[in-house]
Amino acid sequence: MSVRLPSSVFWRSLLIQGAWNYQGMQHLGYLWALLPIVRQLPKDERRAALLRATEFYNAHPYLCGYLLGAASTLEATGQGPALSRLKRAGVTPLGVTGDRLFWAGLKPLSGVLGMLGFLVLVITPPVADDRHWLTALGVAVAATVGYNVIHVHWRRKALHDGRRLGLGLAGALRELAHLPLLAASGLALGLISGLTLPLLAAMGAGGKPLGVLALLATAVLSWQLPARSWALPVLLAAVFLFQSL
Amino acid sequence: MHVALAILICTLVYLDSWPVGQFQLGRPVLLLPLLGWALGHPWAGLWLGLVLETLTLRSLPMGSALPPDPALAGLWALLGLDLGTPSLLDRLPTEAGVATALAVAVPLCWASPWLTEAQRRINGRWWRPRFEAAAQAGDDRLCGRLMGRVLLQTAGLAALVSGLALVLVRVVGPWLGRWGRSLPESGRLLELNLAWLLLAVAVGGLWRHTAGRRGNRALWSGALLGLVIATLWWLGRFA
Repeated sequence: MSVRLPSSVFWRSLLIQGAWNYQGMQHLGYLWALLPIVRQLPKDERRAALLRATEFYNAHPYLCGYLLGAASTLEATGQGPALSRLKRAGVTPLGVTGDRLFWAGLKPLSGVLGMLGFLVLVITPPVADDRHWLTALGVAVAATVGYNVIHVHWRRKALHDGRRLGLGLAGALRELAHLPLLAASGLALGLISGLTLPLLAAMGAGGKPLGVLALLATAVLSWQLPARSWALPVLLAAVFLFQSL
Repeated sequence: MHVALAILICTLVYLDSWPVGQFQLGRPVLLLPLLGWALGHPWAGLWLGLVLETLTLRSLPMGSALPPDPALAGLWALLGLDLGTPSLLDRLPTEAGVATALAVAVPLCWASPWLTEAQRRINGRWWRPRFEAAAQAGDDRLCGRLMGRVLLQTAGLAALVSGLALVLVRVVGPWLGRWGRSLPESGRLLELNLAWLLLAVAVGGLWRHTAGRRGNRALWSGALLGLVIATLWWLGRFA
């Protein structure tokens, strides 16, 4: 039987979290994305493939294509039962790599870039100029578009690599932890985050020394907050209260 | 802004936030300044976007975590305060409007994950058994149809909760607006306004998120670069 990967699997993979729940997490989205592949199987094999797809599944949503692609190869070549083992082995590396690359790296990075654009707008006179506004908005748009170009590229790459590798995916996933993009996004995020505090402190207070100190103190206090769920809301409430005095 | 359009925008942004795509199209730093500009309240939109985005950058949607939803909270605040003619934001001076919008959005940011929590429980208790029964019966057509129903139900719940949140903002808005109006343009102490102080809290959080990672050395290099730029700016302005 030929291994065919319908393009609808890609579009369906966008809804991998569509029916997220605490019992099987992304398993229903995975099942739904896999349906075009299941429908290529002989009728007597479909039920077993559907039941395999309802097993627990939770990885990073952008990298779900690796296992969907591998599933297309394995189901079509009669190796469906091995898929459960591959899923169990794959979810952790895919989850960790995706979380590090996208949630902790590229997403904050694009957010900070957008934020810097507006910060420059706020401190650049004349502030009401529409051209300044559009430039700052352009930075935010470019940051979001850039993020999505990388994100969609990875979604497609994951699907095709998974299909090509099949069972060999387990070995290839180890390589993901050493992606150069992981280190690069961490460095860029560090550099740009570092820029924000001096700019905020100097410019937010309009150069007044006491204001600079107050902004710096507030930021350092927030930076050093204890890792408790109540700490940030308490600090925010204190800021509101301080302003109301 | 018409209430139906406001609810539609909230619902679409919520769907993009986790169930569909996750293209981050509703991220506060992009959507709120754009929407604020379109509605004629550019500063409220800008400060909401800046503060909410930076404040929640370190909240990561990993595994079953329920991080705050800054996009939805910002939308509820901005669109809720913009309802009616003239809207509350039209009647308030710019600074008071910004403070009021922030006072509405920041608490909502931490309340918004309850919508996601409720939807996840509905998915587990209502939709999961139906999907599993369809798979057990080998009915791939029913499995296919079920996802459409899940999305419709998710959109319905998001629209309902957004409608309620907009009503809530409309009710508490005038009260918070009086508080916002009572604040001086720049704070009585140190002449700092609320938005800058909240942004300082947010940037501190961003440093915490970054300092523990590989970017530690890069963080300090960035800080040094920022210091040089800030000094040049200060010299240019005051020397």
